[in-house]
Amino acid sequence: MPRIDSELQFAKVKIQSLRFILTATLILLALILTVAIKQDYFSQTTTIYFFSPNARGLNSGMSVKLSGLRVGNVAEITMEPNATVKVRVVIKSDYARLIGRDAKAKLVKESLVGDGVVEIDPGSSQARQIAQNDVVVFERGRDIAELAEELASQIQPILKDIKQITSSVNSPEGDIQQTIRNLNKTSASLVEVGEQARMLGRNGNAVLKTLNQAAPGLLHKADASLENIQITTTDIRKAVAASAEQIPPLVVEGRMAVRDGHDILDAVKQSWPVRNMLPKLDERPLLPDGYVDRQQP
Amino acid sequence: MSSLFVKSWQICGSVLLLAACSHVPEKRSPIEIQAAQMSLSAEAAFARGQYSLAKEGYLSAYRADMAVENIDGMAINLLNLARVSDVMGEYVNTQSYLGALLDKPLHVFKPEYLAQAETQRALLSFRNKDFAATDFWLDHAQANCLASCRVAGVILNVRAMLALQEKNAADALRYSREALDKTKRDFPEEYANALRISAEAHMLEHHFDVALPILEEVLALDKSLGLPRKIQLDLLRLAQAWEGRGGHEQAENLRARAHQVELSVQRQP
Repeated sequence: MPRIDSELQFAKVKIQSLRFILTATLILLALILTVAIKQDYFSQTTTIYFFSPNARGLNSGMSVKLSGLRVGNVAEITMEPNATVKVRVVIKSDYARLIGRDAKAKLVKESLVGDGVVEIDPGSSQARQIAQNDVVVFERGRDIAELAEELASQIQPILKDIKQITSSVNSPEGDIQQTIRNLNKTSASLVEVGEQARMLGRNGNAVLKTLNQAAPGLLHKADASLENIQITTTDIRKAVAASAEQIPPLVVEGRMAVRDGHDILDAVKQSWPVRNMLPKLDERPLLPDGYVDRQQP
Repeated sequence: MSSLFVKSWQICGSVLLLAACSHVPEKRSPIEIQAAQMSLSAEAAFARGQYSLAKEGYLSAYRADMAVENIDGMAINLLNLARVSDVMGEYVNTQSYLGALLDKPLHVFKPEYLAQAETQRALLSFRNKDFAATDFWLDHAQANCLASCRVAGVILNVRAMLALQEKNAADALRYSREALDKTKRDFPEEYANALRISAEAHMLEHHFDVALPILEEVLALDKSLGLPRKIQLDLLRLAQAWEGRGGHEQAENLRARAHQVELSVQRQP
């Protein structure tokens, strides 16, 4: 009789174990199925190719977007015998209908950090729809380093102009210094002229002759000085005008870069596991002091 | 075949990642975040002894939490306002802040906050020598003090003080020992209180030799926590213990030290 009991119990345990294993397996399968559906393993896809001179910025698995939506991914990157890079792209067939044969694949960066994405320019609507194993044109978007380089190349002439103006102001042979010197000379000469004019009263015709000789030279010097001032002013105005066009975009881009930085930092702060490492910003109650001095009056 | 193998690995990896990243942090409104920032600044001011500043901070945080009906935040800031008012000697305000939590509240507050409010009210009643009310509020606090309750040690310490008040040293020792267990790990200030109460229980039994090393330990603990008022109190208790043991000179010296601490506290801005 006890033997039958133990056998019954053993059978019960066996059934329960089987039921548990079955349930766990079903849950695991459901999870795998969900992930597989999310990863588009069951949807129909169209394979297209593009060629790039190098694989810089291209990674297997990176997103492929059409009008900002993820429509596929880079499946494979291989090297061709001519040292070019062949990229195999897999696109959901639903979206492949929207892409023409004249479509272009472009490598672009969506943010300051992180991988880029391949953006598909769908081409003209008149072009025939892309088919399996078609090849599209590839072009590389400008990355951050290139943008920075371009920015630097735009700033360089401005800085050069400003440097020239500064050195011109400081240089003894520069226009401004020369103008000041000429003006000094002119004023000194005018003092001389005044002296001579005073002598004029005394010396009469002799002084008048001297004045007649000196005046044309003085006028010529004054003319040259004015001309120099005019040239310098024009140079400064040109430099300022050139800078004025380029400085506002620089300021705006700088501000955008800072804002991007803030956004990225916020996102990083909220992401796992960084969020677990930061102190929590939570209100907390102060603990009451559980002691009262009973000996106090 | 190999691609199937890679895909299954990808799936397994995705499942693991899903599990790791499944916890999404709770989204809080900017006002709630601002309230938390104000409350934490007030906490820092309280730790520095700038009680008026702390009160202003907690009041602003409370108003912000009230504006977005953040119930937990409201409860926490009411408790903190009661605590600051208590330290400032504004007992009427303490009662009214606790009243907002305990007397016909507009919201349903969590038991842990109710337990703390009831403990604070028990302490107020004890200070006013209304021992029946102390007992009443302690019972309520005990009922709301569920698992991971932060005021469990405080409740036991107040019970021990009640026992001392009734000259019941045995009960006082029992409660203070329980309080020591509850506060040992996370609440050093309350642990020091429990030690002081147990020393007082020993002194009530005239066991001054037992009380002395306990009080020395409490003094060292309060010094490490930087609590001048408690240091003064410990020195006075040590003086009493020495006095009971017949060490009048040591007792005199300890009282002089306590007086010096008191003067320094009074001179502080």
